[in-house]
Amino acid sequence: MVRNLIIGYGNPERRDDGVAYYVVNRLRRRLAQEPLAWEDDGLSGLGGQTDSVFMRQLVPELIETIVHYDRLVFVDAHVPADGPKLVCTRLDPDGGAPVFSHHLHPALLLGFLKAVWDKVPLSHLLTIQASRFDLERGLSVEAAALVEPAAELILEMLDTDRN
Amino acid sequence: MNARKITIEPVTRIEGHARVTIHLNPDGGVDRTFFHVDEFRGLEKFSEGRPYFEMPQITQRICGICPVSHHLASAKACDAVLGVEPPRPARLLRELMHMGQIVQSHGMHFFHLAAPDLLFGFDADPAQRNVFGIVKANPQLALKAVHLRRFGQQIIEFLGGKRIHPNFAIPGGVNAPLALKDRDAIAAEWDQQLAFGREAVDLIKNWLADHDELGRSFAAFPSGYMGLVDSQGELQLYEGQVRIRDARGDLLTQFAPPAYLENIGEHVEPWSFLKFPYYRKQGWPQGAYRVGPLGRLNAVDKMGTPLAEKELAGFRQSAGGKPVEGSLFYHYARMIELLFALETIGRLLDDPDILSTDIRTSGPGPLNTRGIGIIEAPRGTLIHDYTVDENGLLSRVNLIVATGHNNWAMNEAVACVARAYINGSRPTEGILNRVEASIRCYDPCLSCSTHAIGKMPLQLMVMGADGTILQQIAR
Repeated sequence: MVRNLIIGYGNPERRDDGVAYYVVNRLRRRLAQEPLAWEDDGLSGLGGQTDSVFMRQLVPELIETIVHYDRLVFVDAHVPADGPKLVCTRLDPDGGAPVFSHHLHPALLLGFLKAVWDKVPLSHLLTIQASRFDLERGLSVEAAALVEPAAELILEMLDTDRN
Repeated sequence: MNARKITIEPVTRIEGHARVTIHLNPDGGVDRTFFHVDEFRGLEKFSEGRPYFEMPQITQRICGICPVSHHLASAKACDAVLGVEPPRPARLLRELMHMGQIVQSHGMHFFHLAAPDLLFGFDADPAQRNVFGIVKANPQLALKAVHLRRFGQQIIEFLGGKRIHPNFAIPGGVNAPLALKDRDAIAAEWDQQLAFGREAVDLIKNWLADHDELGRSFAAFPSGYMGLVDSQGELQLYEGQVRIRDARGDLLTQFAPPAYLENIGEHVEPWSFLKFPYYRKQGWPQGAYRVGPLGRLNAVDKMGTPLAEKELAGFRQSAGGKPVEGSLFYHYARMIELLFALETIGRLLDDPDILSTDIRTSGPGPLNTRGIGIIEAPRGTLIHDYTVDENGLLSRVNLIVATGHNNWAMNEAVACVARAYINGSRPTEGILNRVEASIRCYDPCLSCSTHAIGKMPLQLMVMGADGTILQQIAR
């Protein structure tokens, strides 16, 4: 059985920066799973074929979770106002940004996984165009309109894998 | 040759945004150096008018790395406003959470931010000289470091519900006891983490033994030293009296937290938003001191836990029993404190009161108008000082944060390294990295120290005597 993990991350207290929280929950509804509560990262409810979590930031200890999955989709916000509204890129475990303090790029996690366990799950980063980063909850109209297409895109990616 | 200026901006692998400028004289030697902190947030001001009891939640938002320190220092200040002493079990639980943070913060700094310079060398290719290089070169060491960080984070989560910005300490105590299953989960992993703590101490101890001259000379300078101690002179990280020793190791003063303003002044320079604290009786800059792991280990008489005590003896021996001055020894002191924190976690887990449900003292009556809480954060002494009106609304807030105490020392460290390595020819990347590394020894958190929004980078600039920028590193 191919196991999938969707990892949304961002700060939902800064409006669109937390768009991944809404995408993860839309996906969970589509998969007939309970949505994550505001403070729940979902890590205690893992064990299905397709699991999903939402975190304020990626942390290095996540490698001990992702090692159990065959397919990973990271979901984040992106800033540039021009260009595509949804951007999906294949992650290269050898292409991780070296900077690491508050910011941990998902490719660095994959590189860590490869170095420790010589395992590289098929992994993508899906980013969603964001425009408002005010100190409050809730998405801008523009980002909210991208939640369903993003969830649909992830489901298509998982279906493609199954086929 | 005209005088020149070197700027390093941003300084990397630190917590905050800063800039270093190195002014060269016409001969190409170092004239002056500055470690600028350009962030500003003004959290003290916008807290005014808020109810005092909100502060343990508000102030921890200053930082995503050491929120627990602000949370607990704030709760201690609130205890003082409320005029109550939390029951012993609550104090133990707060200390346990604090030790969890010390473990995760010290572990992360050493293995992820400092170790690349030590393992690969200051002149190594920057593409290798980072945490990814550590992972590739020694994946098992990196994995152990991950486990150590997770161990500390889990303690915070068990007590406060989440790893970052927990909801736990409240005025008069804490809001939840420790569950038996959580105590047992921490205990089950403790032996393994203690063993790794010992391994970490050996790693830096052996590195310093192999680089004896560098360790003794790199950013080494005399200063005062400050840290919390108990009545026996033992290291305290959660509560105690503030002790300051001078550069020779002689005791200058020891005072209870409410007396901090009589002892600590803050100097201001026009080129930095970060103030420069100093010991008032010696004046500025003679009264400048260092805090954090090196400051604490130079200030205390004893560690108070067996393994850390043994390591303290070796640490002191390295300077012939005098205060240890080399900034690279911050890493050694940090790992000894890691060991201390792990041993303290073991002691706390064995204490019968750790599972008690007697965790809060209610307020006795009218509020005090002033409350001061002092704690030893991973990076050094952290002071929260609140003044409230009769309704408990804040009318004044003063925060003196660990990195601020070390502001003078970081400037001094930059000056030492610049003078040692920059002379005439164009500085190499490795030399500029040494300047950054001298700051990294102090593990500064510039988000905390300016209470700033928190971009991490740092910039280094070399400037000529005519003010032109001759060289710049911006990562």
